[in-house]
Amino acid sequence: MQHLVTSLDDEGGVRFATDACGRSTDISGYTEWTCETLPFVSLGWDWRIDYRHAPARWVRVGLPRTNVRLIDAERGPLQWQQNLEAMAEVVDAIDWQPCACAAVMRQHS
Amino acid sequence: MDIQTGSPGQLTSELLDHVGVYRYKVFVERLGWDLTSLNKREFDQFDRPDTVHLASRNEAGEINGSARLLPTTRPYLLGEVFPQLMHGLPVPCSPDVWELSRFAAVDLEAATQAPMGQFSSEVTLGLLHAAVAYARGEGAKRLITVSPLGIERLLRHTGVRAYRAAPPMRIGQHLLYACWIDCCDQ
Repeated sequence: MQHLVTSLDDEGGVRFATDACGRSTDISGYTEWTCETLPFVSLGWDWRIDYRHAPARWVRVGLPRTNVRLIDAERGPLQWQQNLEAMAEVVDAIDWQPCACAAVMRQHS
Repeated sequence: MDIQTGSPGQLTSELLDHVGVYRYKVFVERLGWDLTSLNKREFDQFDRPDTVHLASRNEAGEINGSARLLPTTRPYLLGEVFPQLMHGLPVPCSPDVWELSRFAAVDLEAATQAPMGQFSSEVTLGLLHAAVAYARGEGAKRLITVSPLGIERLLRHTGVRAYRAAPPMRIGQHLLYACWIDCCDQ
């Protein structure tokens, strides 16, 4: 899969930069990955930076969004919830964080 | 919140005119979409006598949301303008599928706006559920939409089951995707 886009969530409700000065914040966003060749797989998910333990980690938030429907051993489609949970395992198995981080850094440098 | 639904023959010309003004303000002025307009009203080739419009009004009677429904058995936006969003899959053409388009639910008078500035939550939910209910009443099992990518995240909180039909694509300055919305058992 290839990285399509990674972007930050707006904090929202901040009229002036000084309003946010000194305020705690969470950094979160979304990332999208696609295949440019058959099969045209698409996978996107939300992420946030987890500061609870050093070093800070980029972690997936919630279930991913996808056009993929997996089939079970009997070749029947998985229930959608099960499908997304399985796709979440796929997300967690790939090393997406460096690419996503680099994309955010390029946008905001 | 008052939602009116119907074809041009069923709605007043005044309401339709206000919808055109609202769509111009949202899509052309606020979002910067490159759309044909006349006298600061936004209508296109898919606004036909058989098009179903939905219009939400606030307590003051001002439009604060609108949407459009088209059967996919006749020309519609995805099929005619954005078929590439299906990545080679055939565009829907079935009485089971209607297209939802020009969906906006923003209070133009509000001082601040949430991200994805087409939406406020209450009007979004009302319009979306009204659109799904209308389409279901016409026999639709699913809606198809052309949407900016961020819409998918918002739809998670609406109670509708929505999922992408194919990978998103960059078209002009926007990342767009074709989105399915189930009409059954919401």
